[in-house]
Amino acid sequence: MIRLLVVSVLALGSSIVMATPSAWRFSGFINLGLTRGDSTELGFKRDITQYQASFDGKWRSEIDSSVGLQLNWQWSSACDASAQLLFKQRYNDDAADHLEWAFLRCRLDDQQQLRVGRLGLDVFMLSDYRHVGYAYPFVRPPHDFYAFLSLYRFDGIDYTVHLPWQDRRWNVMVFGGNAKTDRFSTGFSDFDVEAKPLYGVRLSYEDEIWRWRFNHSVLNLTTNVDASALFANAEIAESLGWVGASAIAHETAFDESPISYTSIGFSFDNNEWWMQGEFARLKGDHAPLPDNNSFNVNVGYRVGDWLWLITGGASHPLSDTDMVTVPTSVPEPFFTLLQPLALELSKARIGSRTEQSSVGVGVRWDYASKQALKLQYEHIHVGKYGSGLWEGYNYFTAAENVNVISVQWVRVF
Amino acid sequence: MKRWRLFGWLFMASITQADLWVITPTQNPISQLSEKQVKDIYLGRQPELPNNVMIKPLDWQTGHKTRMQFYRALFGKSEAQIDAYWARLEFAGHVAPPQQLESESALQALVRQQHNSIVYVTSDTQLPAGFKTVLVIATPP
Repeated sequence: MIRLLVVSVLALGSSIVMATPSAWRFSGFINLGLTRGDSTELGFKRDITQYQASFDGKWRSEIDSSVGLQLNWQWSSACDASAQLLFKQRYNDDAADHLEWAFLRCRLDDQQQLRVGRLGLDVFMLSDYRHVGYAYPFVRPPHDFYAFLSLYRFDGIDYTVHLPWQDRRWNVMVFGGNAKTDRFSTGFSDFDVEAKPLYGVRLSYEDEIWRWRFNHSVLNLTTNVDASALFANAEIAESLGWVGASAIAHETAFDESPISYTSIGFSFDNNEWWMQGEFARLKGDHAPLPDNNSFNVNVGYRVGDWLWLITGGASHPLSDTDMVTVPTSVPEPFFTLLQPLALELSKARIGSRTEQSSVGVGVRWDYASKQALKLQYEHIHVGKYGSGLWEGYNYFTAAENVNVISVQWVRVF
Repeated sequence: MKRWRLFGWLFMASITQADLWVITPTQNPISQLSEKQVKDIYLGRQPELPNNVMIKPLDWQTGHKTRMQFYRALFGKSEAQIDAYWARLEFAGHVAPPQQLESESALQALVRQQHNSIVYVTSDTQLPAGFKTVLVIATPP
């Protein structure tokens, strides 16, 4: 937190003294938040790349605080280059991890553009500006929907064509590349994830009041989880009379797992009422990452400089699961000896599952130019075997209700 | 007395609600813009202009009275809403917001170099030398 504060002060100072020529533009954003979750079993975190969470009513500053610095260079009328550094709580904290994106963009003509480099993943309503607190009303993107979608960027290319039609603005974007995420910290272990390849298409529509987005993305997930010991132990268990142990172990493997995301989202803003909603289907078809539906709906109403907000959402797997147990047909003492293996298989099967729903209220106050204060309360119900978005000492907790309170100061410069 | 006070208040109100002019240097081949084109330009949407001229919008500093009036008249939005809109586009790496002018004198210096720029002023100010009006925006009473 102290480092974030130092970066914030330096960034604000440099924005004042930095006399950039017009071809260069330096800008940035700051989010400073305090967040508190009241559960002793489940620790609240903003997304699954965070490893420190709020338990038992403890206020934490890392969850909703971050600083972004951005430099843009317009080097011709058709082409420009941009880079953004993002400082936030990360498991991996190498200098290269802070480079959120850096790309070269060229406009081929009035209607088409191409970007190459490290790009923000721009498929959901908030996906490529999730860290820019000033740009949206809530303290963070809806937890049920976005906390699992911790793929923020990819190295590759995207091509966008604008389709003006009947005075409306339609865009089609196709993209492809490879992504390496920040380390995931889920219910059962911490591991690195690569999406290789990642590709998709996005159709969007925008007018003065409405925005609509439809996305379909496909990615091949691999992790650095070494399951060889688990497989070997399962084979031993087979030889000791546990029929099916190897099959269960292989079900939990993540490697080369094809996953698809399909989503549709909208936002509405008539300067008085503000609404935003999204629905997404994840098609994983793997034991640790089953098919899943998620949605969020948010309604806001403006009164002067205040925006009052109601939020709601849910994430629900489409298949049931259960703990892995050693068959009672396995004789003693093997039945007892194989209990730790059953627990490991249960963690692998259940640890990433997400089943939760939430309702909340909040307010944003734009009290001064380019800065605002936000306050938010959420009541989140986490289902049994559904705590994949949380830190937990007990992975197989029964259903749990958690209250989360957040306060945040945001600004852009 | 009350009637005179009311008349005076209405007169002052009519002065403070001056229309807005969207202006461009006389060297710019564009002679007229529609309200939709100006909206698209100031929202970074790259409108199709008939002669494929690239337009560079200029803005006044955040907090400038004319800026507040312009966005309220054209989009019905407050400055905070517009700044949040630009935060979304800029920090997602899409489009940078219009360059902001620090003063009226900066306007003259800048447009001498950039003949394709447009900017807005209130109609109660004198049209700066070397400029022409391409759109008049009526401000709501």
